[in-house]
Amino acid sequence: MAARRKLLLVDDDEAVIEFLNVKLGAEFELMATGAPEKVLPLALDGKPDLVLCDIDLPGMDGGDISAALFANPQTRGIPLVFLTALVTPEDLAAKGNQLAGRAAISKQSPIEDIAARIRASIG
Amino acid sequence: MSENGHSSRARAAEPIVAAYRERILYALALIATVVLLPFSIGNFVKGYPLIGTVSMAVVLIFVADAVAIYLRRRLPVPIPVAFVVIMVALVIAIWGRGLLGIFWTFPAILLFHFVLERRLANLFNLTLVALVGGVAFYTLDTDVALRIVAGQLLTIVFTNIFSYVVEAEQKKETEQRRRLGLLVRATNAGFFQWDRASDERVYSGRLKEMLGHAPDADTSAWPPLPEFMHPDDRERRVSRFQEGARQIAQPGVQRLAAGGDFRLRHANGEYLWVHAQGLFIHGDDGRVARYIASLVDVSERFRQQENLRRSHNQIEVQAQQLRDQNAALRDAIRVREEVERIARHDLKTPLNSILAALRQLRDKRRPDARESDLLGMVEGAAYRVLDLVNLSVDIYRMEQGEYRFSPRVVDLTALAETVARDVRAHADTKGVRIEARVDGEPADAEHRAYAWAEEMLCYSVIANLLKNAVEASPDGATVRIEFSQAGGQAVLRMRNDGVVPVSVRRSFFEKYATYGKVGGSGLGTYSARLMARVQQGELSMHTSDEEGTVLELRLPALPEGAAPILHGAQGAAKSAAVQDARPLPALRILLVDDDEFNVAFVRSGLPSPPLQVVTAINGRAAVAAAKADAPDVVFMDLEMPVMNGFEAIGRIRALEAAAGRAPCKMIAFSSYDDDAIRRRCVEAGFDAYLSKPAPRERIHDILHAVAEGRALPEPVRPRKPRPSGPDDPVDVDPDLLGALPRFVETRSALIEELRAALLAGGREAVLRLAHKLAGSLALYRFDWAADESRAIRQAAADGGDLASLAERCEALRRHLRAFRLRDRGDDGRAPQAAAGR
Repeated sequence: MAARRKLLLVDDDEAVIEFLNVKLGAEFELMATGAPEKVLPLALDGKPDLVLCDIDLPGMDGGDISAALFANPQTRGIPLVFLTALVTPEDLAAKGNQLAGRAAISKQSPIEDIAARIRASIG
Repeated sequence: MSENGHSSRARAAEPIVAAYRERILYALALIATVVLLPFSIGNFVKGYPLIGTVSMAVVLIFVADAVAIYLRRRLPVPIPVAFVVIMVALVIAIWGRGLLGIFWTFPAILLFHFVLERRLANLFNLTLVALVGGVAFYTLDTDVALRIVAGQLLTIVFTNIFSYVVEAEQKKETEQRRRLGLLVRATNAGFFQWDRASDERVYSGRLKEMLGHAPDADTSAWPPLPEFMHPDDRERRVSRFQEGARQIAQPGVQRLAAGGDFRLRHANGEYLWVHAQGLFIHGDDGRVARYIASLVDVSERFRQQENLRRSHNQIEVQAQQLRDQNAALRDAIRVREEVERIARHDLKTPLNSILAALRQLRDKRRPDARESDLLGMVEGAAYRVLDLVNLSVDIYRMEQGEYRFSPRVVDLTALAETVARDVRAHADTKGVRIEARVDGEPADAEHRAYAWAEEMLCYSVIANLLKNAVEASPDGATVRIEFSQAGGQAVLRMRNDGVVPVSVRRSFFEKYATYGKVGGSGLGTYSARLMARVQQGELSMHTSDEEGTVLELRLPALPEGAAPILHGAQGAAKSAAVQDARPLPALRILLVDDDEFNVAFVRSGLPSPPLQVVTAINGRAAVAAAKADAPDVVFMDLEMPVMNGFEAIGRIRALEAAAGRAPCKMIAFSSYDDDAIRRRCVEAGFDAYLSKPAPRERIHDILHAVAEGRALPEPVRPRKPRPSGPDDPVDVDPDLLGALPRFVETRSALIEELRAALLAGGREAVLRLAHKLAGSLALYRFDWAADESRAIRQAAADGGDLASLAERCEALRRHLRAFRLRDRGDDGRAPQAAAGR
C-alpha cells in the first residue's frame, strides 16, 4: 500500500491543529507547528507533500512563509494552501479560491471541502 | 586722487576712509575755514604779515576745494599741492611764533591722515614731524621739543592703529558682501526691492534676466510688479501684499512675508511660474519701510507636476479601461458558463437516459455475443460523449476543490470492457492483446471488480489509461489489466511492456506535459490523476526497463452493505436475491419530468400495484394532477419548460395549505449536482434530492422511509446553516467530542483575554483574539459563537467603541458555559449534558 501523504500544518491555535489532527489524521500523516520560523526547517526536514498554513500568524504571516518556502529551491515545489478565518467560502470563491496567488480555503468551509481541496492540491 | 565720476560701486569697493575722503575734506575745509580765519586775520593784526598771508592762503585753498566738492567739480588745488602749502605754512608759523605754531601740527596730522592715502599720509606726517621737530629743538627748550615730537609720533601711531582696525572690519564686511553676491548668483534667484519712502523699485540683474530682459536694463520706467503678474494671480498676490504691508511693528523689525507661487509675464509674452519669499522691514515709525523679495523660477517644477498629473490621468484612464475589459471578460465567461451549463443539461439528460436504457436491456434481455457487441458500441459512444461533456468544466472544479464527490457502486470491470471495445480496433492493428483479470482470475460474470466511486470519472480514468497503454505497448505484446483489493481499496493495475522515457518520468502527471504525442493536449494523465484523487483515490506510475510500465489506480472499496449491481443472467438472479425483499408500500406517486426517457426509466422501477403512479410532463401539469388527486410522494424534476420544479413545489404547497392537507413528501431530481441547486431546494422546501439517473434502490429506500415515517435518506444538506442563535444546540462533529472539554477551556481563556483587551482599549489585541476565536469556533461548528466573534472583530476593525463590545463578549462566555449539543439521533445517543464542568 502506498505511503500516506504528509501534510505540514501551520497554525498558532492548538485547537485548530487538534481539529485537523482528528479529521485528517487517518488519511494523512501530519506534522504541525505554531511557530512560523520553524516552517522552513520542518519543510526541508520532513519533505511534506503539502503545507496547510494559517494566514494570520504572529511575527511572520502567511505571506512571509509563502515567500520563504518559495525562495528555497528545495521547498519551492511543495504546494501551499492557505487556511483563513477571515474570508467566507463564497467570498473566497469570488476571488477564484486564491489569496495572494496561492490556493486558499476558508475555515468556515465544511471539513470535507477542506479535505477535497488538500487532495486536489497535493503535488 | 581726484574723484570725478560718482559711482556707488566704486565707493563701496574702496577702504572706508577713502570712501569718505571727500566728505571729510569738505567738512574739514569748512571747519578749518571757520576756525582758521580769525587766527589768520589776527596774525595780520598782531604784526605777523608772513604768517598771516600763508595762513590766509591755506584758508582760501580750503574754501576753493570745499566749493568745488559742493559743486561736484574738479578741485582747483589738488590735494598734494594743498598739503605742501599747509606744511610750509606750519613751518613758517612755528619759526615765527614758536610753540603757538606747533599746536596746529596736531590737527594737521589728523587732516593728512584722513584725507591722504595711508602711505602718502604717513610720509607727509613723518616729514612734518621731522621738520617741526627740527624747528622745535632749535627754537624751544629741549624738554618741550622732545615732548612735542613724542606727542606727534604717538598721534601718528594712534591714527594708524585706528584706521588699521577700521579697515580690517571693513574688509570683513566687503568679504561678506562678496560672498552674499556669490550666493545670490548661485541661487539663481532674482531679487526685488521696494522702498516705501521713494516708491523705488529695484530689480536685480537676475530677475531682469528671468523676465527676459537684459541684466542691466533700465527699470526706472517699469510699471509696478503686479502689472507683470498673471491676471488670475494678481488679485490674490496684491491683496496678500497689501495686508502684509499694512501691519505695524517695532522699528527695525524684519518680518517674513507669506511666500507663494504665481506667474510673471516674460518679455516674450509667455508666463513663467515663480516662487516668491519676501521680507518686510519696518522703519522708525513702525510702518513697513522696505520690502525685499527673492523670486525663484519654478516653471520646471510646475511643468513636471503637470506632466505627472497628466500621466496619472492617463494611468487612471487605462486602469478604467482595464476594469471595463475585465468586467466584459467576466460577463463573457459568465455567459459561456451559462451556455455550457444549458448545453450540458440538454446533452447529459438524453445521454443518461440512453445509458440507463441500455443497462436495462442488458439486464433483461441477456444478449448474445453479437447483440452484446452492438449494445457495447452504443454504450461506448454514449460514454464518450458524456465524458466530453463533463470533462472541461469538471476539471476546473476539481482543481478548485469545488467538485462534490458522490460515490456509488461502480463496476470497474464493466467500464474496462467498454473501453476495451473502443480501443480494440487500434490494438488489433498493432497485434496488441488486452487481458483483464480480477484477483488473478479472468474477468467474467462471476469475477468482477467494484469500487465506491463515480462512474463517469472512473470511465474517464480507465479510458485514458487503457488508450495510453495500447499506444505505448510494443507490437505484439499484451496489455494486462489487473483488478485486486488491498487495504480497503480497490486496485487496478494497467501493465504494458513499453517503457516511459527517462526524460518524461518526472513530469508524467504534470499538466500540459506531452511526450511525442502529436496533437496531445497534455491533460490526459494530469486529469486522470486529478479524478482519482477527487474520488479519494490515487494514481501512480512505475516504469523500468525490466518490468515495463505499470499504472496503478487506487479507489475506495465498497463500504459495508453496498450492493454491487450485477449484470447478466447470474447477475439478474443474484441481484434478485440481493435486492430489497420488502414489498413496496402502497403509495400514491406523482412523477414529474419533461424527459420521457427518464420518466420511462423511473417508472419502470415503480411497479404498480402496489404503487399508484401518475406522471406529468411539466410543473403546470403536476400542479393540476396534485390538485385532482393528492399524492403521497412527488418526484419532481427541477428543470422543465412552462413551469419548473421550484415554481411547482411552491404552488403545490400553497394548495395543500389552502385545502388544509398535510404536506406530501417532495423529492427533487436534477442532472446538476451543485450547491446552488441544493440551496435552492432547501429554500423551496424539498425533502430530499436525487441526482439523475437515480438508481432504483435509492427510490425504493425513500418510499420505504416515507411509509415508515422515518427521516428520508438523501436529505438536502444545506450548505450554509441557517443563522443560529446562542440557545441553538451546537452541532459538534462526534469525532471531536474527545477534544471538546479542552477546546472549551482554551476558548474560554481566549474570551477572557478578549474582554480584558476590549476594556483596556487595545484594538490590535482585540482584532487578533477575535480572529483566532472566529476561526477555531467555526471549525468546531460553534456557528453562532463564530459569527459573534467575527462580528466583534469587524466592529473593532471599523473603529467602533471597544468597551461597548465587552457585553457581547460576556454573552459568548455564557454560551460556552451553557451550550447544548445537538442530538445527532442516528445512533440513538442521548443528548449530551451541558459542557463546562
